Amino acid sequence: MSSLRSQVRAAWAMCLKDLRVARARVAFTVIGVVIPVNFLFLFILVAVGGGQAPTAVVMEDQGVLAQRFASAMENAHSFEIRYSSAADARRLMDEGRIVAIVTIPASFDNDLREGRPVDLPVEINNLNFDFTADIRRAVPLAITSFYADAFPTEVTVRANEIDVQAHDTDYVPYLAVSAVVAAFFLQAIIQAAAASATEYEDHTDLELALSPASPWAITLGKVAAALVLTALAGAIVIALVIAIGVQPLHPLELAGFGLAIMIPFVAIGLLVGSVLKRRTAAIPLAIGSTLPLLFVSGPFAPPVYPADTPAFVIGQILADVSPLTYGVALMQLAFHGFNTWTVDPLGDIAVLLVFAVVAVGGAAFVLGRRARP
Amino acid sequence: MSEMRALLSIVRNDLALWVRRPSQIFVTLAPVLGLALLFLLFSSAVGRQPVALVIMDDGPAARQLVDALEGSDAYILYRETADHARTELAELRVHAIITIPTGFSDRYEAHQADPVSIEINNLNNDMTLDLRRSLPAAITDFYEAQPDSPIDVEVRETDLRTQDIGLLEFMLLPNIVLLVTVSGLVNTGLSTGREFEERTIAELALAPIGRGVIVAGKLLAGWLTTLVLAAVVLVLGAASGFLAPSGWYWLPTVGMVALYALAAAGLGAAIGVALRRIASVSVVSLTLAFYLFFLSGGISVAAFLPEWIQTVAHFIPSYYAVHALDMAVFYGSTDELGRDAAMVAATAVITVLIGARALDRRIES
Repeated sequence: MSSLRSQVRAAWAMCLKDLRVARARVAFTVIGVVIPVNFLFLFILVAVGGGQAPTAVVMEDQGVLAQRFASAMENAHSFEIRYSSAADARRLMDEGRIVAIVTIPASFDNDLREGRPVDLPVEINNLNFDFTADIRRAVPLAITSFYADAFPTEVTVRANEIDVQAHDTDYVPYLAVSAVVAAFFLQAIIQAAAASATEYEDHTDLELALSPASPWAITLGKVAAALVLTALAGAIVIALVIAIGVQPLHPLELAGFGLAIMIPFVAIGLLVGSVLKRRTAAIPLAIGSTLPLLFVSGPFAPPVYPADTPAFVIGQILADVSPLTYGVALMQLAFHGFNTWTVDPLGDIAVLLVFAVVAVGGAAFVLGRRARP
Repeated sequence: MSEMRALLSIVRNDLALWVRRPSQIFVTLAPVLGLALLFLLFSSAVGRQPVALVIMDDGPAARQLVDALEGSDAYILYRETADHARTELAELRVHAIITIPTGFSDRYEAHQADPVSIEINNLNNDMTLDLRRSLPAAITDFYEAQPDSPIDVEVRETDLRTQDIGLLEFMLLPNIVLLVTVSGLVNTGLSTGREFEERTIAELALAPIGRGVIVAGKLLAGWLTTLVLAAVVLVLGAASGFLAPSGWYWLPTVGMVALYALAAAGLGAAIGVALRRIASVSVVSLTLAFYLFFLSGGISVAAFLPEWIQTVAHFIPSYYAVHALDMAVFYGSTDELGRDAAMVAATAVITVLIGARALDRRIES
């Protein structure tokens, strides 16, 4: 019993020591906040840049049917429409401010009423296949929607939508959650790796290894200190996310899941620092690996891919083994109330726990090995 | 002659250190490779949503609608039973279920309202809007295929460019420019910053060579490491057939990459001198590279971005580098090459002068 108490005291002392040392390297805490906030900002840029195609509509006919067709285009979820003269549309296209010009011809209403075919000129700046295909799909879609509205007895087949979630979630709130997970990961890896690597750089690892405290107690003390620092940075990023209007639906789960996410991330950081033994290697590794790991862990959509191309198979394997995948899923649940991963929250937590145990065990093993002759 | 030997020694030393420090190579390559993997997934997945199709009617109209749905490039479509489709939706294996209901063909023949249901897992608006568009688009295809289609309006498409560019190819060129930016900033920044952090700059300063040789050596080494990485990527791109400019358009392609790499190396040297700490240089360089990347348009098409970013983009050299590479690689064109080369060259001159001056003054002090 007294042995257990002394080990707890050793862990506590290690935690306090690491926190004191961390005060001298505030730069690391700042890095762990600044980079995820940058991610958040850049994600927002991605979100605003990936939307509807800026398109000029030239109305050469102002008739009722022409107006209804223009309305159908507005409701197609595909275009950001600017009504322009032909000359203005050309200028906007030349300046690269729009990607398509749709011209509703002067005889549109008359031709339709007389049952004559109508040619609808569509000019596309086909810079890449993605949005070009969107426009190629969206214009016929607008035509059919227009017919279903203007001639309901002729076009009877319609889409009847049922939504699984109670409300739609904008892209920015969805992406913002990933920035929180990135903050936890980066801060945890930097703090824990630095705390661990410093011991090896300063050769205090040998003192620790030779002390009566067990490697587990020392490692757990380091985990506790890095947890405090990571929670601090995570709280700052969460506050920023809330400030931009993304409210967590389940605040209590946010706190609980936050802890469940931080523990394995810190443990992995500790292992990285113990194995690399140099901050100059560990910190670039932490910074360099965060973005790729985040990208494979489903920041933009659930990382569940059909196994029909090699890219999807590789993507799926990486998503399965990335701890961030489980973190993103838990945070989406806390913020938005839906599950974005194939296992339930308890499964996510169990997997994260396995990551934590393996990483802490690895770090304790590396430290313990120093004591052996 | 001895100055030249000293210069080559500094370059050789920096290149050797670069090769021996995998963490430095990793920090240069990892974000770019991560983005490339993301692009690969995007290009395979974008606009193609996994969707379950439940067919409860086997009439002629239903079969034609199934053909239209299966011919659509908006879906990766799986025919399922209703129960299995529901399980797949719950497990996120599909993002929506389209159900063609019993009696669909009869109602179509009778000109009665004929709904086709789509149940969408509306997790975020990016996916959701794609799915909302896709079923009406397939219904449009269905009507187009009817011999007595009631739709008289036909699209007459004119394309501004000679060919469509695949999404992956389109995204790879900005990613190469990002690689050059990261590499120039990080490698030159770290090799310069390290001299100060490890205090080896004093040894260089006390060596019997001019400061100009030291400055030129550091910049040249940073430029060369950047060029090596860019060359590897360009060769891989050409060998895989993704990025192969035809004929003499290799010249503007390689020239623009080399010029832009010089600009990045100059800026990297300035950052290295200003911060003089490896961790700070890594963070600032990566952050700056990503800001330059996204604010110059990144992988987006400029017209899709907010007006203020479109304006800012014109002040960022990578905007011009990407434009020149787009023109040379995809369209075999030198459209506005003079403007692009002038902007990047001016940036290179300015950043090299700033980097060289900062390094020179710091060594002197």
